[in-house]
Amino acid sequence: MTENDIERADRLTRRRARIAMVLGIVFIATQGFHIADDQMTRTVDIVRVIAWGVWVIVFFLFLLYGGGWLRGKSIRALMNDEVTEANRRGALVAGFWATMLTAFLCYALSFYEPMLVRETLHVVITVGVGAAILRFAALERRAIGA
Amino acid sequence: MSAVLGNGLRQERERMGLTQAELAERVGVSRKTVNTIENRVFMPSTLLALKFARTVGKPVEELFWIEEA
Repeated sequence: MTENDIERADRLTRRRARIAMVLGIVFIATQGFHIADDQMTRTVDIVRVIAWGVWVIVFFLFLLYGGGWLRGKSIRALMNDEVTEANRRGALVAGFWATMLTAFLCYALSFYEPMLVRETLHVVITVGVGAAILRFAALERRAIGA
Repeated sequence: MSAVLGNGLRQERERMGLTQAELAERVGVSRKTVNTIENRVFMPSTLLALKFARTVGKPVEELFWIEEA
């Protein structure tokens, strides 16, 4: 492990935090208000739902494993050190609470407004994953002093 | 009564004339780890605390201590 590795990991960590923040905002802004066609007859709706599913899976894997899969072993170890592991855990906890809160609100709302299961799950998953990504970005930015 | 983990890492690093990146390289962690421990944002594991203590050449209890909040 060289000083060059430390600097490179530092730079990549800053970039990861910035990207996570932007992607989290874009994800919630574009997907959170998306209402799928009930019958899913239009191709555009099918593509949109598949894209959403891919986003969710990628975000979830990123939160579980920290990403950096295309980097070398030493850089990946530096980028996913103890601090980042703690931040990932904190982000998953935030995501859990956001999921529970959104699910509870949807449940309460369902007494006044009929809600489709698919729509509801879309909102709950989007808010849960989005909140976790945003929390991770915020914790990482605080850690690196951004 | 709650307790927090105090540390003298910044003082030891400055005594040795090292930057955060240089200390990080010696310990084998990221600069972010050094920064968050110095600023008490992050509480290191026992393993990491021992690595820092070994690097600065001090017993771990002289580098880290319990502070009653």
